[in-house]
Amino acid sequence: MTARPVIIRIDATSGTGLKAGTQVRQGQRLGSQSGERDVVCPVSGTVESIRFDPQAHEFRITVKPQE
Amino acid sequence: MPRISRALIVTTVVILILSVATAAVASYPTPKIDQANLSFYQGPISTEPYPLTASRKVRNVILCIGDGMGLGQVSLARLRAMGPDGKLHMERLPVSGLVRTHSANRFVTDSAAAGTAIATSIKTNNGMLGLTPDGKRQWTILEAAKAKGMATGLVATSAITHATPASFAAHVKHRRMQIAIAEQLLANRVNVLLGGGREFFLPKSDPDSSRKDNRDLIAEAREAGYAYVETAAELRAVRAPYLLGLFQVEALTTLAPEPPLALLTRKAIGALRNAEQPASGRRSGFFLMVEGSQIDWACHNNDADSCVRQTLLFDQAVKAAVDFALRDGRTLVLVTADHETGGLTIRDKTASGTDVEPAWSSDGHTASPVPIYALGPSAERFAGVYDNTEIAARLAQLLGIRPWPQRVE
Repeated sequence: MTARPVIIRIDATSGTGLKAGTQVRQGQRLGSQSGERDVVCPVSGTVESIRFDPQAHEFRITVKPQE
Repeated sequence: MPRISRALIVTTVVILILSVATAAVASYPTPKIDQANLSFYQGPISTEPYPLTASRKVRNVILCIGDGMGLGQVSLARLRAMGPDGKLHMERLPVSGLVRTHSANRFVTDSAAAGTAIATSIKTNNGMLGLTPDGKRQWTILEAAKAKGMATGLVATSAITHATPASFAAHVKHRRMQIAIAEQLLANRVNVLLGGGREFFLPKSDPDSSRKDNRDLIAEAREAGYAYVETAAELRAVRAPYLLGLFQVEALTTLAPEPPLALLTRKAIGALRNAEQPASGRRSGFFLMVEGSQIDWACHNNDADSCVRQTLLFDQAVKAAVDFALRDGRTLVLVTADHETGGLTIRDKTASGTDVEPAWSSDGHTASPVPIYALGPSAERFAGVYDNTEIAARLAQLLGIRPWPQRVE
């Protein structure tokens, strides 16, 4: 069974430093929320897409988990 | 396990669960238009600076904020629209300077902390609006102007509850609290509110609502004396001292048939002129903030065409403000930004035509200083290199608001 992609939301202020295709590790810091709380990647895998949500001023990073 | 480590693990787990739970949320596509078509833009015929104003007495203030608009964004828009030897309208303002933007807790600010610094002269933490870092309410220059008898207005191409407009008339712990912000904007009796964000004004029973209660803020605004409009035609026809215009459920599309930012600015100035006429006939003046909200959004997407389009739409609004100020002679126009977004620079190329290649160093905000341009009485007070907290401090001095900054009691 293929694992479902995971979406991680981070505040857009600091940016992502990621691109589609980047490999990420479980526990890797992806950014923050409210400039304070760290948001870490819940799975290891590949960044599928990064979308900016202007209303929330957040990035939504889609990670495809490693098989 | 030490208590702090356990708390950290619990917090991280909660964030992970929340993050995973949002996996089904829809994405936000950009409008399918030819972003590179700049035929809407009417650039200046001359590159000469607008004249300095002899009078030093400021009656009205129009503060134009390009969200995310650093020198790179201005340069890219100028090169694309006017070529290397041209100028944008904002670049013709006779006085210019540079503004530092850091927040209380970060080198790189967000719009909430930057807007708060510009509006209150107090540095706060990223995400916070109208509060000190320890949560104390701070008066904004708009609120102080209102208390002095001036008419006030906020115009934006985002939701009117978004961070920058909210920083002038709301006090909340986090910019996400847009339901509370909508309530505070109306409770503050801001004369003119034009933008998007109807979702935060509609009752929960409405399918477009994002509220958690059945308060109908549009009905409440009408009862409080506001005229309410949703279309460009309604906006053109309306004449009222209190005006609420919500043209979209969320942010504006910045596409026809919506009223463009320049028209919103002209109508806001007209409404504020009506509002500031007391019985004595002596004008009390007005304070208006106009935001080109979506320059930032284009730059988070590293979308140069959209960045140029949004900057030029903003520049048309600046032109509307300048046209009024030149006729009026007592209006100070300031054009600045809350921060830079994208680390935008221009790659080298033969300097001819308008085919310009941008380079981005980030998809977030940066700590680069931002430009400020000024026109009108006492414009020269805004020359130099200074902190964003100085903007409201200098405005307060010019408007005779003392003491400044002020804490809300």
